[in-house]
Amino acid sequence: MQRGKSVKIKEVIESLCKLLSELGVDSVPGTDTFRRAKFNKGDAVEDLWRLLYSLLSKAVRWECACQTTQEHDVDARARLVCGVLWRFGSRGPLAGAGADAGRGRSGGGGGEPRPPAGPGVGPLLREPAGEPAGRTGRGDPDHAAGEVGLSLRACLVGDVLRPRRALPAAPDGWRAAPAYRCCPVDQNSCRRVTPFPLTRKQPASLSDTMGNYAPPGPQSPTVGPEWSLLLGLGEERAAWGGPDGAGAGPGPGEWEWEGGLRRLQWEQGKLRLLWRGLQAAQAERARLLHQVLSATSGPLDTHPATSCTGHNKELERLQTDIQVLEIYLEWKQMEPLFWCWMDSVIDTELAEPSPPSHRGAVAMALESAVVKGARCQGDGGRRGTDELSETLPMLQVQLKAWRAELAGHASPSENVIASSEKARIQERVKLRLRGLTEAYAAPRPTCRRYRLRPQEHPAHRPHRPTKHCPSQAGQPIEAQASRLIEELREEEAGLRQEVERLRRGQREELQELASRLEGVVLIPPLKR
Amino acid sequence: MSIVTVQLGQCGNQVGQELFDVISSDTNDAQKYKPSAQGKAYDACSQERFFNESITGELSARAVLIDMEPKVIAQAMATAAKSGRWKYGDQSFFCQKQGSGNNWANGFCVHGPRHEEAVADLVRREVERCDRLAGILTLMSVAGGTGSGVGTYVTQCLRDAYPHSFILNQLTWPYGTGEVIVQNYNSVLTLSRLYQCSDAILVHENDTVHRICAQLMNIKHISFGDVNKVIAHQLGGVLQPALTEETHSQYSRNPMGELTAGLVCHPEYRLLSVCSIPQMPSSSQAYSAFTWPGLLKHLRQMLITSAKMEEGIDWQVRAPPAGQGTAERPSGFNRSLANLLILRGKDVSSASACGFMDPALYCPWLPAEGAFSAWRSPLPFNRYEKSATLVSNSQSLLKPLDLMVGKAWNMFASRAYVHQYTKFGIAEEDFLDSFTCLEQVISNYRHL
Repeated sequence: MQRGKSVKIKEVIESLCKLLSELGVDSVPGTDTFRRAKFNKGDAVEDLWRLLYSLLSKAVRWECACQTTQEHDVDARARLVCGVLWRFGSRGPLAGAGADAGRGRSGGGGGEPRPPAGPGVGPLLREPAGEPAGRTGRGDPDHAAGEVGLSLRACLVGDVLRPRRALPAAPDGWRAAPAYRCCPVDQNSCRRVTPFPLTRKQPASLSDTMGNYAPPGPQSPTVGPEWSLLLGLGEERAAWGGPDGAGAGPGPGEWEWEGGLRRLQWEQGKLRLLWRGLQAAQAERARLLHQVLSATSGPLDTHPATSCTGHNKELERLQTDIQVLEIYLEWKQMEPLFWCWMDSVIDTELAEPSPPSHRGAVAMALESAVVKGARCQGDGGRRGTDELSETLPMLQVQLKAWRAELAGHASPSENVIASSEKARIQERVKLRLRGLTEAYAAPRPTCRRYRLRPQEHPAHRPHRPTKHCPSQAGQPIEAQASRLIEELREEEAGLRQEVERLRRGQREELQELASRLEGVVLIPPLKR
Repeated sequence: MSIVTVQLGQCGNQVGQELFDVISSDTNDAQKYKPSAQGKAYDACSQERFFNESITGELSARAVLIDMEPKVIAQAMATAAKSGRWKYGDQSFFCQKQGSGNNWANGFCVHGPRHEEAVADLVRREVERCDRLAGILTLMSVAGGTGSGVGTYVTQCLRDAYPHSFILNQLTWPYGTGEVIVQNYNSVLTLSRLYQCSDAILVHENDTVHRICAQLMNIKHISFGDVNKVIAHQLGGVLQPALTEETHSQYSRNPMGELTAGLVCHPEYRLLSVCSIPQMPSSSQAYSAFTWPGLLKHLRQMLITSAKMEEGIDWQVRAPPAGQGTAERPSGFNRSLANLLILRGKDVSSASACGFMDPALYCPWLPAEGAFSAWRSPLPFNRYEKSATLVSNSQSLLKPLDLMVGKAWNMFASRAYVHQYTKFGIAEEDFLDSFTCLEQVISNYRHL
């Protein structure tokens, strides 16, 4: 490797180490360790195993038993890492001795593409088991740690511990040579770190390809019989060269083991698919049961042949209900107008002089209807006009609000209809208002109209202050008003004094504060 | 039990329209030829699977049409309505005025996210109309921008929205000679991502289908319409109701589940190819007579030699003794991981599929009983008295995939057109990830 590139690689490894440290990975070795590990120096290899174990610890939640057994035993840790890597993808030489084997194979043919990946290059720790690929790993710290582990697996196990054939240097620091259709190891950090040129057919982590049916991840690996076998085989596979016969050739047991693993993965996938099918069947059964229940308990009958007919009927019923509700809402919007109109009508009636017999009849009718609190507004045309002037702006406000609401909810085509309707309603209201105005402006003595008002509480009609009927028994209004005015004046005076006191206090406090600050001169606001 | 079809892009919409046409026509024929209870059951099953019946009895396809240009969708809807047998739902489409410009990144990073909500809403509406969702079938090409880019994005969204549903992607691979200069980039990016979120990827190669049109169908001036008809025929042969091993005398209510459970249980092997026999012009059908042994013998040899049509099969290739490794295999032999044989037509119960149960055809770690399954239907399909369709998870796609990735890599090595992708947010690292993923797929299939 060229000297210049080595220098560059050093910087890259430094950055990787920095990154790993930032990620909270323990036992991150120095850059020189990577270099030494490349040449299979014993001390460096041990450090790297330690690092790999730390990475796995980040990505994997060990079971307590497993952790305690591995705590101080470097070899056991290395074996465990071997096993996990082998289980989840790396089929490279997994022990230090593998480096020799790898080097032996890569001795000649510098330009020759690397032998293709073995069939058993399985998934590594990228996706949690059983989770769909599209739903996992986004912004998950564990996932990030898994990726780092993945990178280093590919980088360290694939490259450092097993140097591959050197290819012509690729441009831009990429390990790519067009003739070989190179691919980097699948992670960015790895690509930049590894000091070796890439080769064609670099095996990827199969975590990408595992998708939904990733076999159970190493969430809680235990060193059971399966793992013992696995770890043992991991060591045995140090000289394994892949099924294409490019290497030393697999032993007879390895193929069977490999096949058994694949078979297991196949069966596991099949079970998952069957489970999904059963889940769909269960959903269908629930729906059918619901249909049967609806058919037997309610008037809504669903035809068994056309499964959606019942739904359509239900939909129609809902649409009818919605229509009714819409009409009701429309009415609710119009209701204030109605009551205002009713008020004005009765005001008009009460304002005009009418025969005593008739008025008595009205009073009786009101009393008999137990319309408590109904106001008798007989002050004449002036009061009616005042009310009208109050009513008009209110009506305008309500109309505006109504229009705005309609415009907000209606589609363009509906808007056209709504606007025409609104125009009609507006016209009607205008006519009525004009009629009322005319009625108040020039009351006709012959008019005979009455109003029926519901009981009115201040809470119900907050927009209008409650007025006392002059004929109601009690103290005269003048006396109450004068007393109230006096009380209010006294209260006002008291409040003014309080405000003045508070203001003075604040001013003094401010001045005191300002005097303590050096270089600050407080210019108080002018006294009001 | 219903399948919701999502048609994406020009190719997907055209293939989808042909597919529904084939299905509708076949269902009508089934009623005509077999007015018995069997025909009625077939008809009812097919209708429930693919169509939504309105109160007035009109059939509307359980499909969502998505394209970034309105032209193809309008054509598809008009053609469907003109058929008089079926139509698309009036609100079941989504189109825009600006296409994706054959740029995967534009579709995936711009159009997809922008219209995600509208598309998801359309699909949800179709799904809610189903009593039981058997799965989602997406039809798209991999060469263009909308089908591949938006299609990939939509598939990812569907996977997120329906994590337990079966998603089958039908992909149309472009001509090797090239329809679009960046087709290999688009293909690589599409395939690598779909491999992670789809349950199965069913591939049709334009080149292969074109040869079928030319040599078997005797079409002189082959149009995309002819190619789409062949694809639709093959797809229909797979998706139309059949009696499976699990359902025995009743048509399967879980076709996509059974298909995936039989073929793509292993997550590293998800590529499916399909071939049918016989395929001939409709004018010749009346003058042809086939026997089941003859058809199945041809089909078996087609499987072994990875041929997609019965003409020009190399009969010299033999299956090696079972259990042989990769190195000892005869050249030209196509090893299978799993196969699904679908037989339709007269005397189907007498057809023996023993030839496909040969362990030599399959990889050593999966016994033939687990790797092979057969579906049958006594009704003729698409006016063929007897027809057989083979869906295969095998090495047959290895060569075209390798070629495609190789071409894309050569372009990428010189950074050709990469800037057209980076400007939409696809980084070089994304390309590299895709290459890596597909290299792994190639490696897996090579060492099957």
